Amino acid sequence: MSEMVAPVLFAERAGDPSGTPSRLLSRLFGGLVAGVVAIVAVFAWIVVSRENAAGRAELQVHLKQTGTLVAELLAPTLASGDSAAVARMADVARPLGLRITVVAVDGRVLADSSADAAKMENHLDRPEIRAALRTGVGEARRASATTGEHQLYYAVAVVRDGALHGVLRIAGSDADLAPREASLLHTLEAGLTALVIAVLCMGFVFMRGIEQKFRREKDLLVERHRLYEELKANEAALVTKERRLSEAQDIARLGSWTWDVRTNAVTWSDSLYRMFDIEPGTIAPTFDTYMSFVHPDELTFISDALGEALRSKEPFEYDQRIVRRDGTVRVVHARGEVLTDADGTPTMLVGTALDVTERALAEDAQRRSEERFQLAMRATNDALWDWVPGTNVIWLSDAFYTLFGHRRAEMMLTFDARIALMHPEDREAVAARVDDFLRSDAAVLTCEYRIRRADGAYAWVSDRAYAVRDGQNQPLRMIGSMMDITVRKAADRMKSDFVSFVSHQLRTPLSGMNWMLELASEASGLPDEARSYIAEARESAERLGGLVNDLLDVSRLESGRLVLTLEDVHLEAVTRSVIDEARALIAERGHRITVESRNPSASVHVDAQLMRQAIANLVSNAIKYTPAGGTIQVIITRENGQQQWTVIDSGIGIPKPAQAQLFDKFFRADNAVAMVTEGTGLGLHLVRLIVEQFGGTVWCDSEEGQGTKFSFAVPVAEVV
Amino acid sequence: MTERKKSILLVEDDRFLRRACEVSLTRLGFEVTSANDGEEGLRLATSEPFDLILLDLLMPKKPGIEVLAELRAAGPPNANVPVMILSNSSREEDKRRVVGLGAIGYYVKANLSLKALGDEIQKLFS
Repeated sequence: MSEMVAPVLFAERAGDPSGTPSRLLSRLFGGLVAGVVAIVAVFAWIVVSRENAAGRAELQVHLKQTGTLVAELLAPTLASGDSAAVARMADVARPLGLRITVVAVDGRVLADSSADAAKMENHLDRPEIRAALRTGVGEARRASATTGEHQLYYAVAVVRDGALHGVLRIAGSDADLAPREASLLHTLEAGLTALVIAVLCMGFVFMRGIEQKFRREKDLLVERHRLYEELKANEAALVTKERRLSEAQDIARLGSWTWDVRTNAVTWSDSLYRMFDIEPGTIAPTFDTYMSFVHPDELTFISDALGEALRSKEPFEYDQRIVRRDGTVRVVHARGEVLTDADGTPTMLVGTALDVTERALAEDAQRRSEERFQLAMRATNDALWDWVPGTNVIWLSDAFYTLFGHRRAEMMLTFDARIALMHPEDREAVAARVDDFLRSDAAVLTCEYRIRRADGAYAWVSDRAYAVRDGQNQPLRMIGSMMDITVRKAADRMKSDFVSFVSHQLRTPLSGMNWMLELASEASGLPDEARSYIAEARESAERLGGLVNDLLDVSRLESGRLVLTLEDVHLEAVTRSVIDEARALIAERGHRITVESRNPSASVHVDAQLMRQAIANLVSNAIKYTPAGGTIQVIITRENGQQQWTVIDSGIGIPKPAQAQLFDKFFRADNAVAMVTEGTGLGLHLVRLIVEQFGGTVWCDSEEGQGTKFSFAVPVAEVV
Repeated sequence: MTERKKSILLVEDDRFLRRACEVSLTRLGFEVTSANDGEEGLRLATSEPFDLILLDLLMPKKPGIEVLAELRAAGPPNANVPVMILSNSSREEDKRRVVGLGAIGYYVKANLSLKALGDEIQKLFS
């Protein structure tokens, strides 16, 4: 069907409906027209010629007859030699429309009906005259020398009594023929023109007719072809759609089914087969087959549901479990509609089944997770909160309200409201710490603050929050738990007070011992032995005093109730002073100690006494834990907007495992204990408490057996 | 002619400390009078003139801070006498209160040697 005949003649592109006749046909037609015209022209010429010839023949006869007659009439006149009479006779011919010329035997024109004979030349050379002189008659046809018109000449010898007296020539003009010829010609011309025009028109019409016919044919063919292609495309599309539907059903785990209620015939889509984990088409789908897959616990339910659907003819849907051949259980969401005939009798059930097992599992898991969360929330005493930084909205768990006695309805759940509940002395500090935390990249923030309870009293709270950050460390969300530590705080305070109290109490007998031993050491006449015992007793007492002092300092720093006197403290000056105080010990151990300050005016705004204590502890450690003849360097620099103080010794170093606990209360590394048996384990803890009090950090680098480097850094900016 | 010895009133409830102090200061050439508690201390301070009072804080019957306050309010002979606090408390609030009452020094006994005490007193009198 793809072959088309007509278009071969029409050299247009397929699908172009406005075909124009090809050159071939044009040429063909042109040739035809030309041929016709030629034939007609030839024919016309033949006709005209024949007419002319016939006309001429007639004239010739006419001339002959007239000439003969006139010659006879003229004979006597001419013989008489009366020129005037001859001329008169010649004039007679004029009305006849003929021209008469009388020529003498020598060729002189004696008379002419059209012209002046005297002016005419000798006519002897004229062929018809010569012929007449010779034979008695002559004919010629030519253009007249005199008038220029084509003439037919008939010459007759005038004979009287056997004597030649002259020639009578009689001429008839072709021009007489001309009208006849002309009209004939005109007629022919007209006819020809008409014919040509007619033929052209016919041809044009014919052409158009052919063209249209061809075009129609072609259009039909094109249309047929197009429809055919469309049909093919539609078929292909349909196949594709069916395939896609099947694929989509598979992807969606959606199967479709029909059940003819009358015949009990059941159809399953491929994806429904697969839902049951069966190769499509390998088993015959029947209602019973379906029921065999239904979970045993739900058989009754399904039967009832379908029965109800048939009865009510309403669309239905339900969730059910199916059990595959291999025993796996899937959760399926089935929907269906009831089709009825004209009477309303159910004819078919059609519907879909969607495998929702994953979703069901997920929902289940989520429910359990939610349950767990709720239980956990109730199990914990803590108040949980959830806040999106930048907004004022904060979610608070029920525990918040029970812990602090507020009523949910009375509280505005805003971040600001919670800040407002805090103790006025704590608000600013907490807000500032939250701001710093948000801007940092830290994950966890722990704050302690007081929060007002419904009864007006303040509870101490330890708030530990976790921040979820995006790729640029922007905080997206903060979740925290608030633990009521009022009791712990009170206990701590009591402990602190206790420690404080006891320390003070211990000092009294301690001072007594110190002073008595001091007096004793000054007593005269003291045996050397006794003197040495007293000296060592004094040393011992001094250590006890140091321990008590440290305990007191730790207790005060931990209680947070220490009142600091802030002033600009020059680290180099304090360091040199500390070293100066310890010069006896340094000399005794033979250490070489240097202080290098890379910016001598380095100062920090801190409590002088505490700063001195921290430096003293670090220097003292360096001295104590370095074997005799060691080197100790103190370096003071400025790094990243902080004052950094470092002491490097060539001492025994600190084992790696111990380094993690170095700053813990009462911790002493084993090698330190081995070297210096007495020691409280409070020195470094105190250093850390002091440095952190000033907003700084302390750290340590050490290789066991090679030496130790302790550094702390304190912000130069004012510390609150 | 011997210069009159400087007189020091020592108010201290612990007898060991009292004795040690008396011995040490007497050796240095001071005239030392001791009181065992705050009441006695105040009584002595408001009856006899002294050149210096060494005052403990934690004492029975009357704490040192009260003694000082009342002393300052009492008038002659010792209303304006220099007072050194010899205490074993490091509590800031104690220090602040005594400074407010015009004590010229605050020392923690456990951290102070008798020699240092003597030096401080001699510095005061020179």
